[in-house]
Amino acid sequence: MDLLLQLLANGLVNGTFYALSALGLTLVFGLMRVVNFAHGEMYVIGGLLGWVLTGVVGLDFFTSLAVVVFGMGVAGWLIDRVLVSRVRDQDEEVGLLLMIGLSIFLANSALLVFGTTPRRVLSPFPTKPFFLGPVVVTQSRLFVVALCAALIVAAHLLIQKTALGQAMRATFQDAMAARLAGIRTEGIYGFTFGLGTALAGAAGTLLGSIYVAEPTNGGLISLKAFVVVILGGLGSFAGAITGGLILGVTEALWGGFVSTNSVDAIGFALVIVMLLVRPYGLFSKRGERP
Amino acid sequence: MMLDVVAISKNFDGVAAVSDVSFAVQSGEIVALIGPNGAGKTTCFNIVTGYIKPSAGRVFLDGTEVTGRPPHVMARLGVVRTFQKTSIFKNLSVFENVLVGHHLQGTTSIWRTFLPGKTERESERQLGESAHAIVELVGLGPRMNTDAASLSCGELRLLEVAIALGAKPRLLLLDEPAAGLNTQEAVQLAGVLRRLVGTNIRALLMVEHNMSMVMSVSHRIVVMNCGKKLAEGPPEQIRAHPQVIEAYLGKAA
Amino acid sequence: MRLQRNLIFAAFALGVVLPLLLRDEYLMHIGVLIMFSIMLATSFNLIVGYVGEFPLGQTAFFGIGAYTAALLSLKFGAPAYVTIPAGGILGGVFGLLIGSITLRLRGPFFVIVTLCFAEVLQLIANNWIALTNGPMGLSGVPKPQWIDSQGVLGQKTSFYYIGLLMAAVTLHLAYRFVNSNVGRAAIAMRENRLVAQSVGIWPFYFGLVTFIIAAILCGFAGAFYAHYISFVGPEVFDFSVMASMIIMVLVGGKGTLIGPVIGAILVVLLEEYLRDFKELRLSIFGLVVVAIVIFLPRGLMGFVRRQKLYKPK
Repeated sequence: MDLLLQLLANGLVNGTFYALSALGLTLVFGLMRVVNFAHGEMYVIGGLLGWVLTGVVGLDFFTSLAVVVFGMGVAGWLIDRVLVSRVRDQDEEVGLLLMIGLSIFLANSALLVFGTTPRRVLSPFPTKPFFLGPVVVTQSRLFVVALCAALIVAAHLLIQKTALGQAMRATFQDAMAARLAGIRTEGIYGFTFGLGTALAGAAGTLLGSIYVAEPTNGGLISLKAFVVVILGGLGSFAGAITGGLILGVTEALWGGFVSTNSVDAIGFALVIVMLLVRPYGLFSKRGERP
Repeated sequence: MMLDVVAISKNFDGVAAVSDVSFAVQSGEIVALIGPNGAGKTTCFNIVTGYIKPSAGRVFLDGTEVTGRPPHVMARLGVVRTFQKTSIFKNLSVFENVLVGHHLQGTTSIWRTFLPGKTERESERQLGESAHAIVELVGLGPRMNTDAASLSCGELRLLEVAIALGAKPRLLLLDEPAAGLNTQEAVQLAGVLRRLVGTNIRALLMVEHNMSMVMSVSHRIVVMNCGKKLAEGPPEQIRAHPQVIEAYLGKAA
Repeated sequence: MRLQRNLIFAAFALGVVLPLLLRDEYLMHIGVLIMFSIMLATSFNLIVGYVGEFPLGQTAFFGIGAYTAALLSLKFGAPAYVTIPAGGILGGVFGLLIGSITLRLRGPFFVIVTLCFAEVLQLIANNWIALTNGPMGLSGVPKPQWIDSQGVLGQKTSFYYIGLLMAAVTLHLAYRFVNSNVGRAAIAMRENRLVAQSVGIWPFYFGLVTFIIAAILCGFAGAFYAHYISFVGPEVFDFSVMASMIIMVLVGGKGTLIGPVIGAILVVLLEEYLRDFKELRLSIFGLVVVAIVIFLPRGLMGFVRRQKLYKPK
């Protein structure tokens, strides 16, 4: 029983990480219909940047996080304005190809600059264990979970309670109508992409303090994020959170009870099952497709 | 009875697009389905041709039930339709468009695709000839090899009909074939349509707003409004029907 | 079409003659790579250019073909003329399985699920040690007897000719496909799904047929690769193979027959030229993709008139 609880706790912790990591992806996916293949690379860059700021430059953790969020946000906005905007009116696959090219470029450039040595983002919290009944969680993990949750809530508030968020939601529902209502949709797209990038980078920094940041991880991170987004439904916040938690818990249980080697495959198996049963995710509002 | 539509209804999230509509199309007839915008005409089309499943009701073709069969199956059974918004293959030429329409006439066997024999080549040649002939029939001969994207609106409508003809339908459903046509083009189209019935095509069902064409070409008219059938009968009867006039023009003040 | 066909014949003739002029191992090696890249690019192009979907997991079939050939020849001593067709057939079987599940989906879902399948296969290859020997892979895949007995140059030249033959067969199959009723149906599906349905085309079926054909061709390529390199490991499922396929079809132009050929030649040459700069090379690749997508979306052959379906007499 204790094992089960421990595994569940691990799963929920990991699940929160997955949720944050997938949030940026689902926003961009849902709002802009762009499959951000470079999502994992942005996560990686966030982590590497976090290492540079905390380890090399010596800034404290929170400042570094803020710099990462701001910097990645700007970078994302630039990417949208310079690259994505040019292919927006073409087929979806063109945007996909663009992001694939970008991801190849980013991953390998990061490899060139940083090499394959894994880096750690310096966390202000120690790895001392924290006991919640029979369950053990390290303090640093708990801290990161709290920050993840805070970021998720902040993003949620941004989208639901601010005028900017309202403009985003309007553009999501009907871009033409939004334009007619005076919303500068191009700016909204840029902001959304920037937000997605910033969230990915933040996840990279946060998780880089627990795991490692290395340039070769990008692909797997992207895939896991896609798994979460498919499970939860495109563009759905609640979906990203639920999907993340489901993935985290399923992986933890499978790893604990069955085998640790095939843990990565479980996510893919879930996706395949989900796509057979409920193709548009748990929280999607889409109906039949012609 | 060729086509028998019995009490079909369709609800979309609580909105009744079509409510308990029944009508029939006999062999040799041209039937027009008219009504104000939003009356549910295209939804009826979608149901009959299998693009949508009805919430209730049934559809029969020559006595056999075909409710809910998908569009490609309906095409195989001889029911082919055109669409309201221009639907052609815009990157292909006029000839190629109509050739694609001949799909059901060609082979779908994988073997013969990769190891074609004499029958294969002969079949391809015949398809080409048939496509050629149909393009001439609808009057698009001069535009045979032009890309569909560069056709005028009237020519596009003719191309749509030509594509549908390639599928050798027995029952042809036309969704607003005269939309966007000027008077001369509409007359040309009406002529083509009248010539069609009595070939392989045994009957025609069309949704149309162009009243003069409807009146001149149809044997029978079915009027819909707000998802329900309002009236049915030959053109002279419908023209004078008070409720039909009211539906279109409103009550006299 | 006429132009493309003649170009391909000319290229083929050149290809036959080339080894007699250039008696060089390294160049023969490049030639082999080009040949089997043509196969991969053409198969990928069938789905992207003619069905209009993006199977990012295409490497799955390549890997299946490679492992099939390796296992059949290592464990059962099967000769190449059995393993290569077997690789193709097994590729086709997996194509049927994966296609029938994934082709119900469209757009980004299709993209990601096909990728998931490829990833799952890679994970299986890595972990099912008993079958695949895990990350250590299967080495010592035998070359056909008559090749083994030759010197290195002779071996490479022989593989080159086999590759040339297989590439020619692949292109011929693609040509037949595109000019057939079935091929037209696939194109119609891509162009306008609704109208295609209205004339009797069942999108799922034709998508699946095309998918299976592409899978078979990839499987052939994989089996050939296994015998040439003599080693098959989980890297055959790597995304880098996929990235190469994408770039080849992009650069050459999708939806044409000769596009993948040109793309394959250019990309292999570019990869070899940049061979020494591994990460830089891939970085450049990424930039190339971005540049092409933005400036030249129809690829080089987009300038050539897109092929006609049928030449009316």
